[in-house]
Amino acid sequence: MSTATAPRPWADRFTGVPVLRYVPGILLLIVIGLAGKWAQAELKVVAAKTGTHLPDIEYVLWAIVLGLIIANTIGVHPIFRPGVGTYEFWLKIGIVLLGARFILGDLAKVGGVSLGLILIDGTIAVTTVLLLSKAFGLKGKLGSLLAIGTAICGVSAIIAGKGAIEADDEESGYSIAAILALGAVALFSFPAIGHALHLSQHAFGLWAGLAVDNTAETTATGAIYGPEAQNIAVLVKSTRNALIGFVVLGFALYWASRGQAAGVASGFGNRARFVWEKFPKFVLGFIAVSALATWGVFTKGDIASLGNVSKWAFLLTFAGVGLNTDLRAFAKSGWRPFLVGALSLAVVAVTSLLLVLGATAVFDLG
Amino acid sequence: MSQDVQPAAAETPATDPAGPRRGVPVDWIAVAVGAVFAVLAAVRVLPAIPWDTVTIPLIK
Repeated sequence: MSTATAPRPWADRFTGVPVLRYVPGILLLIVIGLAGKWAQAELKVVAAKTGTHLPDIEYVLWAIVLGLIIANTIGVHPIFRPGVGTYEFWLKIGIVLLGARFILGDLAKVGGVSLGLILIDGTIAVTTVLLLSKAFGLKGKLGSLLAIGTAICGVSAIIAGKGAIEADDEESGYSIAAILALGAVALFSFPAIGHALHLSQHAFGLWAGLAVDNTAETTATGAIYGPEAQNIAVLVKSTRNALIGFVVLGFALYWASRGQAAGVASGFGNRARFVWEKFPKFVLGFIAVSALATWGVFTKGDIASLGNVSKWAFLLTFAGVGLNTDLRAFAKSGWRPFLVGALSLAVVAVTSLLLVLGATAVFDLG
Repeated sequence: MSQDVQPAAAETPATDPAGPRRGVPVDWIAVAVGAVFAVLAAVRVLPAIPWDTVTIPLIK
């Protein structure tokens, strides 16, 4: 699918395509996800039989690579596209159910610490992207969209920002292409760096949650490192996502002040409504399930069952990440948005890593 | 980019300038599906159905 050029009907709204049209694509997601599982298990068997030391490559990576190969060679047949486009929906269900793994006290502790880090990191990210966009001569709104995508939550934030600052399809397409390409770069590079630096699961999860741009890629990056890293990465990323409305509001007011976008009506009520409209509501589901777990509504067995459903939802997500990544779309968008995004990712990655190492030591986050 | 200042656009209500959008927000559907599973777990239905025994070996 050309993420950079085609509309994304399932990115934030279900627009009423007949349900049966989703079935082939969802089945494809299941097949690719399970093929990833099979590949991971088979590699272990081969290693054991031959006595060779082969790396234990997580199924997440296999599923993503398989999806990438299909999407960029034979392509995704139109019959599969509606279902394949649902991967962010499964991601959100997975995150909601992951709430059962956290008690509210943990959410408050990790969320509180990460909120502070996100504000520092986000400020650095926005400043870096805007300065680099100016230096590389990117159109202003393209720079704004890249800044929104880098500081907050990738594709969803760009879609939310596009309408608010009245960016055109080309600008949002370029931004989405760059953010997805950089998400793929992070997927492959962050776990390797984390292992090289001997980061703990907790520290790596914090780092991935702070620095990886798109929620699906953040979750996958955490999962490649380990289950605890995945849980922390999702928690930190959800905190980041919750700030989407404030950042988009800031950019909407900026472009309105320049006469290049319709403004947002003044007054606290109107602005609060704007922020609420952009707020990712699935975060509320995550907190609600966590509250139920905190109040002892679930037994250990229930939590294991919910964890199983969550894992399946993430399996479909990871298969969808590769299938929805069209490298040809990145090539079409030109090198400048990608370069600005790549340099910004490098700055954000280093900054957030230093923040994580500092916070881990100070707050004893282990 | 061109920084030409154009006539200021009139302020609009707090809605998205792109206009009203059709469809059900995916976020709310995800919350609803999550709620169904949470209720099934809370009333001990989810662990009781063979879902886990069939699926956990596949995804373990």
